[in-house]
Order: sequence, then structure tokens, then C-alpha cells
Amino acid sequence: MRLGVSVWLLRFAFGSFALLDGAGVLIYAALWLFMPLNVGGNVGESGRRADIHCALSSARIATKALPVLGAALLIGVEGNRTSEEWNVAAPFAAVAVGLAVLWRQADDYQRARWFAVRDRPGPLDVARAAVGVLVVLGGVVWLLADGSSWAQTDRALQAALAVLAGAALIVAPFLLRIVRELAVERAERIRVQERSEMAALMHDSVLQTLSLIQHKSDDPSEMARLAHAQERDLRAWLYGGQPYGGDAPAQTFAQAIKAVAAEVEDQHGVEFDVVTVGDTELDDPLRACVAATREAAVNAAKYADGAPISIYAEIDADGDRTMRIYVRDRGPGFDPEAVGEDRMGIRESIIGRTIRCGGRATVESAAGQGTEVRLELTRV
Amino acid sequence: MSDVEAADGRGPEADEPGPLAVDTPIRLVLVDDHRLFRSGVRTELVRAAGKAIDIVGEGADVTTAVAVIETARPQVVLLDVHLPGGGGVAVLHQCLERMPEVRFLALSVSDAAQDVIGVIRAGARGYVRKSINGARLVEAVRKVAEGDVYFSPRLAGFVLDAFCGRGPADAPDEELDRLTIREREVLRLIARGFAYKEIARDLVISSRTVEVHVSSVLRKLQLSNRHELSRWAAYRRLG
Repeated sequence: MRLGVSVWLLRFAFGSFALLDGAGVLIYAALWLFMPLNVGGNVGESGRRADIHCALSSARIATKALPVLGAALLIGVEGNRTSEEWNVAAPFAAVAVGLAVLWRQADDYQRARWFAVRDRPGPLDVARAAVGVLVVLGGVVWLLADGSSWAQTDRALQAALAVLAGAALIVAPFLLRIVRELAVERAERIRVQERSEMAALMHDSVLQTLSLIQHKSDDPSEMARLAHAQERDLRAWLYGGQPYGGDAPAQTFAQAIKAVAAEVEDQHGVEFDVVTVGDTELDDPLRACVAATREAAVNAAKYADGAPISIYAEIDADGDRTMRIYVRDRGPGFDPEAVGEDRMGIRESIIGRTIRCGGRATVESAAGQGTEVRLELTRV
Repeated sequence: MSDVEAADGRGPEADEPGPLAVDTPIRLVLVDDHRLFRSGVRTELVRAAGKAIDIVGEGADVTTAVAVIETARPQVVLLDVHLPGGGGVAVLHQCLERMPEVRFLALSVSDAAQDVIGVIRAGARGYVRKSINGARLVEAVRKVAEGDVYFSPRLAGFVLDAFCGRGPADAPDEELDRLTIREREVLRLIARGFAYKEIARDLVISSRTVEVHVSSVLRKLQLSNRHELSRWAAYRRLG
């Protein structure tokens, strides 16, 4: 058909070769196996058209399979018709029939996917596949267990190899299809799972906050606080790769600084500009410094009067194993000399704490200049 | 060039922030795919800058942005990083070749290092977060319009982090991969929330010198082909 020559003419020619030495049968069979079927020329047409294609190609395959079967039988007939020859030819025929059934089956799946006519194999398909497998297996067993003489072992071996190759050809598209389907299914499952996780997260966080904000529409500062807290959590999750809500205790220095800032933001309704550089595991001196930072942040939140507050924390930024933390506000500032002994916040919680863990702390402030608390610690 | 004028005879007093007493307003194009956000920024800019900034066009995706920038020829483009059609980086690539005089200030909700470093390397002259207040945004726009570079505290932190753990440059061939001591100092002060004039006062240098240092850092960010920078940006996710 491909060559524009009548199918029957070709079959006759191959059949003649088959009468000579059987090679024609093999060539024909190989061509038949590997030639793509001329179906699906117009992908995406209506189901009715697809059905017609189905029926047409089934008929075509049937007509193609029959001569192979016949030719295979022919080998046996044209030989000496001894029982040994029959013992070889008949299994060949069986194998050929099995192959025809299975191959047609595989092709059906392929076509079903193209036209999306049938998604799942029906019981008929399964039965057909089973019959095909049984026939091929039967052929193999027959070949190997016919108890023929050693002279025919060679031929039997070749036949077995051919059958194995045929089986591989049959199985390959099936395996491919199974692997592909598994991958698709897995991706789909992951998508569904992610979507439900996302929905749960949105419900617990953003939706809750939005409804809270609607109820608090008469309190702008509370609205801003809620919105900011929500933004911070969402941001940490989106860009920080952290679990949502950040309830887990901080493991590293940078996480701890951010957690402290977030906590003070929530308690005091302020907003910090937090920048961290470098990171390392938390240890006790660092924990003390983070606690001092918290105190400095609380002070800034209380006295900055709504002015912007920056928290900058770096660790090992120059490769010198030094931690530096700066908490700076643009508020009214104060005169550090004038601070009474009773102001434990600065003297004890910030300076004392930092000195005890081996660091240095300074507070710089002047009226109208804002305040900056600096903590420095060189780690051993 | 306006930065030549700016460099000429401007003492530290000259760049005191104040009402923008510029005769001709800064021509600005606003690019963001959210209409609501564009109108918000417009309101904020008008409120904070008055007539000093003239919004001459808006774009909602890469194609419209490039078209608007080509017809309006603004001094500054406020550019969203995440845009349909290739993102802010695509706009930068398409515009800077043909219109090198247009300056871009990246504006994003994202904090991801690869976004920040990505637009800076593509040619943006600054990076600010969308939560920036009006006054700071105007300051950033003005800096970029004058040919300077605007680093937010966060961007300064990013850069310090990217070059983290490396000593100052001591060999010329490492110049692009390292920051000088002065550049580190300037970046650290920016990260601590200092304005340029406060940095100048703190380091006892002129404001112009601060700007020179920041521009130099920007150049290193854009030109350094140290592969670690991109790798760092890909891995580093700061919240």
C-alpha cells in the first residue's frame, strides 16, 4: 500500500519466497510488525470518525495477519512433513498468531490515546492480551519441550531467540505506557495534594486575617498590625522557605533575630526593617545577644514614636567570627547620661547581658537624633 | 548628563532632602501588572512628590511596557520584577540596548535573592520593596533620575551577604569579586538604615563619595561573573 502496489501482489511474492526457503515469511512478518498502521491521519476528529478508523484498521490487520499465519503453516507443509518439521512449524504458527493478537492490542491502546476514545482497557482487551501471552508462551514451551533430536536444537534455539525478541517487542510499548501513566498519575496526585495543602494554608492564614480585618475596620492601627503580621508570615513562607506560621523554635542566628523582631512587632504594633547578613548555629552567647536585641527592639518600639526602626544583624561577615547587631530608631532620642539607675531595661537587659557573655554594648542617643544600640561579640 | 551636573560644585548641603525644587519634573513610567497597585503608587507619588514627578505612562506587561517606554522616553521607569511575558528582566534587556539613557528602579514584593540580583545584573539602578513609604520612594526615584544608584537597606544586606566571608580586595584581578573596606562600610551603614548624608557624616567623606562607592558596588554586582554570585542567589532565600 505504501509502495502503491497491491497488497495481494506483494503477499503473493513473499509467499513465493516462502516456498523457496521461508525467508520471505520472516521479511514479511518483520515488515508487518514494524510498519506503522495508517490510522489517525486526522487526529482530533469526531468519535464517529475514530470508530470508523478503528473498524477499518481492525479489518486491515486481520487480513494482514492471516497470510502470516498461512505462510508459517506453509513452512511445515512444503517440508518433508516429518513430525519433527511439524513440531517446529506449528509452534511458529502459534507464536505468529499470538504476536498478531498482542501487537494489534498494543496498537489499539496507542490509537485509543490519540483519539481518547477509550481510556481504560475493557475486559475484552484483557482477555485478548491474556490469550496472546498464553499462545506465545505455549509456543515457547512447545519448542523447548518437544523432545526432538539434537540436530534440531540449533533451530529450536534460533526460534526461541526470535520468540524472545518478539516478546520484547510486544512488551516494550506496554512497559512504556505503564511508566508514562505512572508518572502522569503521580504528578496529578502531587498537584492535588499541593492544592489542598495550599487551600488549608490560605484558609488558616490569609482568609482568617482578612475576616479579622473586616471586623476591625474601625481600628486602623489594629488593621495595619494584622496585615503586617500576615504579610511577614506569608513572606517567610514564600521566600524564606520556612514552615508557615514559624512556630518552630529558631535554629540559627538570623532566624532568631527575625523571630524576635516579629514577636516585638506583634506585641507593640510597630514595623521593623530587619536585615541580616551571614548566619550560623545558635549557641549560648548568641542567644544572650538575641535576648538583648529583643530588649533593644522593645525599647525602640516604645520610644520611637512611630519613627522607622532598623535592625541590622551580621555574623562573620568579614570572616572574622564577629557578631554585630544594631538597633536604630529615628525617634526623639534621649540623653543616656540622664537615665536613672532604675532604668533596668538598658543597663541590665541590654548592656549587662551582652558583657556577661563576653561582648560589648553601647547605646548612642541624643535628643532629636534617634537612638542606636550596638552589640558586638567576637566568638572564640 | 545630570550626574555630571550633580557632581559639579555640590557640597554636602546641596542634597539635603526637601521639597524637590526642580524646574522640570522627573518623567516617570510605571510598570506593574496590577492596576490596583499602579494607582496606589501613583497616589503615593503625587502625595509625596507633588509636581516634582510626572507620571507619563503605565505598562502592564513586557510588551506594553517596552512600547510605552519607547514612546514616552522617561527618565526613570519604576519596574515590577514579576511581569507577564518574561518579567522585569525582559523589559531591561529590550530597553537598555536601544535606550541606554532610561534608568530603571526595580520595585518588587519579592524578597528572593535571585529576583533582586537578577534585575540588578540586568541593569536596574536600584531595588526597593513595594512596602516602601512614599517619601523614601521619591528619594529613590530622585537618586536614580540623577544617575545615582539607590540601595535599600535590604539590598545592601543582600550584597554584603553575597560577598560574605571574603576579605577586602587585595589583588587587582579579584577587584570585581570583592568589596573594598570602604564599600563594606558604606553598605553596612545603608543596611543599618542610614541615609546617604548620614553615611557621609559618619565616615567623614562627601555625599558624592558615598554615591561613588555605591555605584562601584553596583558595577561589581553587574559585572562580576563569579559564578558563586548566581549560585548564591539561587540558594539564598531570605525572609
